[in-house]
Amino acid sequence: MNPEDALAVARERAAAHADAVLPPGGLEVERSSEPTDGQLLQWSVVEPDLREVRSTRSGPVGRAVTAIKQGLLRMLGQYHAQVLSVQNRINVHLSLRSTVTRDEVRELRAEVAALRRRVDELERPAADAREPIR
Amino acid sequence: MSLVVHQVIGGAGPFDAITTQALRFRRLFDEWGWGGKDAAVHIDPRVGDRFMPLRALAPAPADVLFVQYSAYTPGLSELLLGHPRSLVLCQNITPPEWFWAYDPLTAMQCYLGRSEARRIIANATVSAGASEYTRDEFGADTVIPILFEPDRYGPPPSDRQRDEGAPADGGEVLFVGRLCPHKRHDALIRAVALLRARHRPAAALRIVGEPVNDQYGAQVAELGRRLLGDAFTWDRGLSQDDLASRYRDADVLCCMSEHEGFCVPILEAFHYGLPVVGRPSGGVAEVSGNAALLTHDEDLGVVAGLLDVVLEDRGLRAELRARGRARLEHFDERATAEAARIALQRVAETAPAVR
Repeated sequence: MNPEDALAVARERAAAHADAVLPPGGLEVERSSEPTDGQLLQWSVVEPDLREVRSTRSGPVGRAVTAIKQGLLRMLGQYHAQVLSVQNRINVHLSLRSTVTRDEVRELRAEVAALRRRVDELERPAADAREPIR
Repeated sequence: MSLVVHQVIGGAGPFDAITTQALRFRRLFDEWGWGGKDAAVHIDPRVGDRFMPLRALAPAPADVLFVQYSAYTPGLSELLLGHPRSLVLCQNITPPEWFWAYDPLTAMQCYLGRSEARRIIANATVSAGASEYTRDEFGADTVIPILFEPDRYGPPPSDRQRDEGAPADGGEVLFVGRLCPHKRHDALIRAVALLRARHRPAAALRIVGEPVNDQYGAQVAELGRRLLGDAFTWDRGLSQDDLASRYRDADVLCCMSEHEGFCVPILEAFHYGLPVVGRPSGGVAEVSGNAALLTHDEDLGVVAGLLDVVLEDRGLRAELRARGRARLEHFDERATAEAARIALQRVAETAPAVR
């Protein structure tokens, strides 16, 4: 078979077996043009995974560096908790404010559009009345 | 013409394709008697002292900057603006839409990288894309393809071994590439599940690659296990030798990716005499030429059908193998090296050295 003929054969085979389908569910990748409000809120809470704090080196040196890093984290735990709580408070507040602002802008745009329509309706009879009589 | 060429990349890492390519270019520059240093913004300690921090790079006005741009690089645009001689080679930057829902940080990097790309290109003396697709996407001047080095991959199986083909009811489908949303591993798993359900109950899928994050990797693995069971294998962190053995053992490469700037695994598949099935997205169609079976069909049953056809037909596989070899000649590393040399010399001719 020529490569150029393979697609037609594949389509025939797909049509002939169309009744054999897969169970639904599982990962199905979707594109999104921007993060959702829910995602923004979720991301605004800073929760670093402390297990990820480790050395990129392997062997005994890497293990030692990892132990030092983890030790420092434990020693500075109270300080980091304070910093994170301040940052989280600001983040959550900003993301909520962004959601509320967006909703308000949407409502205001709808209101402006309705008012424009109403102005057009009111102006149309007046404009018709000004039309010269021929 | 002798030049001093400094290379600049965003991140230098031990398994990073751009880093490998930069090191190979440096060897070429050494062969040509050209000087210069290699710099990166982020440097993994495992690459040693082969790269210097970008902030420490102080190019003389007569030197040429060769930037491989693949992600947002802070300070790069300003560096190019203040330097009269530069070549920017744009690699693929995936649209952020693929990442918002799965890895927002990567999405942000892609967003910034793509936004910045046009400014970077505008500030370059000469600009290039790694493929015609990438060149057109970012409005660059010319094309410098990926430097593909067959000697890195070892010998392919003999034609006789490839002709033996897969068992009548099976066959191993392979895909190599990062587990990222735009690579559509979900569609690949479903296509192979349909191949098993409709044509070849013993067919298997092997994917090779690092996930964009652990959570996304777990989602892909969960789907694979659910639809394919033991016929699904995910390998990561493979050495070059192990990767070569995966290519040699496979029967077909299937790439369902929806955004590729170049897609090196296709050339790797051609090198190992593997037939290629997939989507003609971006650089995939350009790199494959007429040597792969590609379809836009939304029905994954058609992809399953193509896999079945190619696993079944020895003559078809032989023809695709021959066409694949011709594509490898088209992307010969000497041709890429020559394209890079011409572009770098063009930089020097376009912007004469300031004395």
